[in-house]
Amino acid sequence: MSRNRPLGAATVAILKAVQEGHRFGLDVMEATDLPSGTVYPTLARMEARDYLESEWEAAADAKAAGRPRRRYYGVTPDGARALSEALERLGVLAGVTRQAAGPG
Amino acid sequence: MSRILLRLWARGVPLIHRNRWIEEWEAELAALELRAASRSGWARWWTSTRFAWGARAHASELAHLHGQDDGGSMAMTTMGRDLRFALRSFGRAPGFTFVAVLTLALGIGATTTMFSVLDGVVLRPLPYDRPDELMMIGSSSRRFPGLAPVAPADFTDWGEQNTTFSHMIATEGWTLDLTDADRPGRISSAAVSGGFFDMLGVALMLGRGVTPQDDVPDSEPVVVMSHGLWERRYGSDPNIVGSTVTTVDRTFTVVGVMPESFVHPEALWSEDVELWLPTSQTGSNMTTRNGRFLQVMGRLAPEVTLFQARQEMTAIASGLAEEYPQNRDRDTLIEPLQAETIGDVRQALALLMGAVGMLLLIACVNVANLFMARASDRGREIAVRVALGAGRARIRAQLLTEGVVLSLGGGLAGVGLAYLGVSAFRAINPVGIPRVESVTVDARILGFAFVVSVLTGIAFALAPALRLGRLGALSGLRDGTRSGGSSGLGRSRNVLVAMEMGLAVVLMVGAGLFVNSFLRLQSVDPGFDSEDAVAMALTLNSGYGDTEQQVTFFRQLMERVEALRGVQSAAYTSALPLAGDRYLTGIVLEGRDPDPSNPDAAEYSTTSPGFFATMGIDVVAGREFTQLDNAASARVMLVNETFVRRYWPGEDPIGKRVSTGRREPVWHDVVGVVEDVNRRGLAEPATPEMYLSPFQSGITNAQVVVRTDGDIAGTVTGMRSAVHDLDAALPIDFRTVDEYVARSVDQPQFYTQLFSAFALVALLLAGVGIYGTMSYTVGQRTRELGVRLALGAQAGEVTRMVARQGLQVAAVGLALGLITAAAGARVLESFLFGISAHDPLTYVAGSLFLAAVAATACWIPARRAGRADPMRALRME
Repeated sequence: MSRNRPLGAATVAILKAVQEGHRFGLDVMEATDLPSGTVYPTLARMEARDYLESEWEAAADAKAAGRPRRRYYGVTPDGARALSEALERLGVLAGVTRQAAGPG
Repeated sequence: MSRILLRLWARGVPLIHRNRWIEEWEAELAALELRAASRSGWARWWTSTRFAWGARAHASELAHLHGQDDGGSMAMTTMGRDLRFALRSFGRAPGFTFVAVLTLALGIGATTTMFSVLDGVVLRPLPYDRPDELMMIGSSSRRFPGLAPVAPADFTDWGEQNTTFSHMIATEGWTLDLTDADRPGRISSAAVSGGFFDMLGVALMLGRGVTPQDDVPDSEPVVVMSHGLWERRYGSDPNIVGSTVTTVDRTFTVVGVMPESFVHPEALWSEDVELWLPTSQTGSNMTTRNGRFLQVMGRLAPEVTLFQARQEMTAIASGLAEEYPQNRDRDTLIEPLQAETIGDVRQALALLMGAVGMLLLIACVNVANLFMARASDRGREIAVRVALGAGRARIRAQLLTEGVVLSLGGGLAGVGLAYLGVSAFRAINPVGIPRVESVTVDARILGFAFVVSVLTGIAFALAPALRLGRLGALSGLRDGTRSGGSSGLGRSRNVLVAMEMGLAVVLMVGAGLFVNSFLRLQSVDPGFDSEDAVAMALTLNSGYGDTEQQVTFFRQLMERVEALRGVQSAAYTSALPLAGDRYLTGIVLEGRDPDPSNPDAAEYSTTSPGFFATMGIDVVAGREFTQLDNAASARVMLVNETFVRRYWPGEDPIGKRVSTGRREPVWHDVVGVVEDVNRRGLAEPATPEMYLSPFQSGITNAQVVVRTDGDIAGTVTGMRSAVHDLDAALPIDFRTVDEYVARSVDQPQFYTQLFSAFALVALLLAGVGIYGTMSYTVGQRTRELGVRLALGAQAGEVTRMVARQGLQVAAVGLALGLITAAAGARVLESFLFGISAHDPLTYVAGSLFLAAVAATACWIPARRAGRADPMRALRME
């Protein structure tokens, strides 16, 4: 996988969701409305690219809530930069398509 | 399911990440389940399965990122490949697939249907709170060792003295004739002591149950009604509680309505009870120790065992036996409600389940046979795969996958059949099998069908899989165009055919015994003539209090009925034979010392003049009743032949005297003797019976019997209006006398039909199995047979040789089957009437029949073998 390959729409949505504070996999799924088969591999891929980092919930907290330990994701500075670039590019693309589809 | 998927996918995650990965997904899944908790079971299952499915992509992404192309999910890919391959190969052999799936569908469908019935009736707990604690408590004596009704005074003493039951209640079957709403209605009811509903632990839908305060003398009359009655008769009136329902002499306040799911314990009263009233409202003597008419139920106190309860109640009973002469030799009997409810149906259902299991086994054997035939055709294909490096495990896995896929297909179709079967079963409600309302196809049943399908698939694919997996690469290739067909496979197929024959013969003999027994039962002469006769059930309400009023009503009714066109004769009785009404009473015979431990007793009924002629029952000595046997003349009775044989053997009964009174003697002169009739059932021997005159003994509960010239419908219309003219408030019910006779053999008929159906399917499957094997063998041996023919063998010789080989296998199976049948026949004994479970004729007939089928199935392919064209056979090489 090329490091320079631009981020796809789903990946952008997922990164954005994490940045907005949906740090748990299932929350990301709900926020982006993407299936589990898309969300989790993307999280893994982004983590491998160092756009995301993850940490495990403290065992004590999980125990207090009576559930298995959760894995929380966060956006790295690299990831944040890539995300904003991607958003900008997507915005431009949206403009392009709007123009293409506009009156004329 | 989702957890299984996770375990599966986890194998694809690189080892160093695996535990982490599982932990992460556990957390995700737990969170998902929490969020979906409010949804229905299916939706939840689907959501989490879909969710977990996505974990696979995650796992393979990780494997990819870490440069390990997934070792674990390789297994999945392989399985997917096997699956696709299996489906493709079935697509290429539609005929094989169709026959195999159909066979399996029959087997699995029948098994699933029977299991639904067994599950609903026997295995599932009764719909009450902690049903295991509920017990039936009966009074037993040396004469009636069973669970007999209880005297009210005994019930009171038991309740006061026991410590092992947290609740103890009494009930009595009752009927109420409602006169409210727009039409009269006879409602099956139950009188219950206060605490009945508490004990069952069922919440009422509206209002409250019958409380102990309702159940004291002189309390206000109250009733609780069933959901069905509330809906049907009172239009689901939401304000019913507090309103009233009326009978001729009383007005009851409705205090509660039961939920739709509630069923009155069938062990207490087999009718569908729709009204519950306090026992204080029946007018029964609730302090007597002489009349035993209550059914008692109790709930064991916490931590108390059945054994402890039995010990305590026996101790109480022996105390009462010392205190009261009526209780001498009396004990108590405690049986779990569940066991009492199911009764002997459990045995019958277990038997049918066994039969259907054999059917499934035959279906399995058949498909295994098909599979084996197909597998040996594929010997070459498999040999090539082995040569190309496929391991044995891979080949076996492939064959097992095919088996399971096939049987899941069969299972799916089978579940469809089970749905049909179960709804048919419920609609027919064969023969009053208890708890039929809880027989459904639900998740449990689907689970059962799934497990059965998978096991079936493994069972029939295992033999070929093991055998073919063992084939060396070379042997298959060497066989050249003869494509597999090793002698080992042939032997296995013979074993399967023999097994199939054996199972089929067991079912055939079982069915034969059932049919034989049923024919004998049907040919039993009930002792009366049921043809062209119709009976009208009618009960006079309390408006007809004394004998005078009752007699007047019936005289007017009979005048009208006899005047109807087509009526040849008419009469009435308090208890029609085979209609289920029986009244037993203790008697005293003049000049005979009573034996307290074995008191004299006889069944009694009241019959009007002309009853015996109408029913075709001969009066063998003395005379029948006349209009003159009334209140003004001496009391008279007729007795049946068994009565005479039992009490006055070798004596002239006419003129002897019998007393029926409980407290004061009421003497009757015997004026006549009539033929025995089968009152309780065709298979039941006659018991001593007495017939009394309605003009002397009164009658409220009657069956009016009319012998017609054949126009039953016209007669029924006439009788209906005759009753209506006299008293429009009397509920009536018609049934032909033939119908009563037929209903009395419903149960054996049902078992016979079901068993025969199983045997027929077994026969068919076994026939198809043998035919398939034989034709296949002949096909395999085309070359050999061609050579024989070319060398001068006669066609007839070849045919005989081939047929002989098939029949040898069939004969071995037949012999083994007969031995099995003879050994297992004991379980059938209690279901049979007039025939031994080892009836040699049935065994011979069953074997001959099956042998004929086997011979036909062998002969057709054998003939083809004899007619083979030697040149063509040889050219095939």
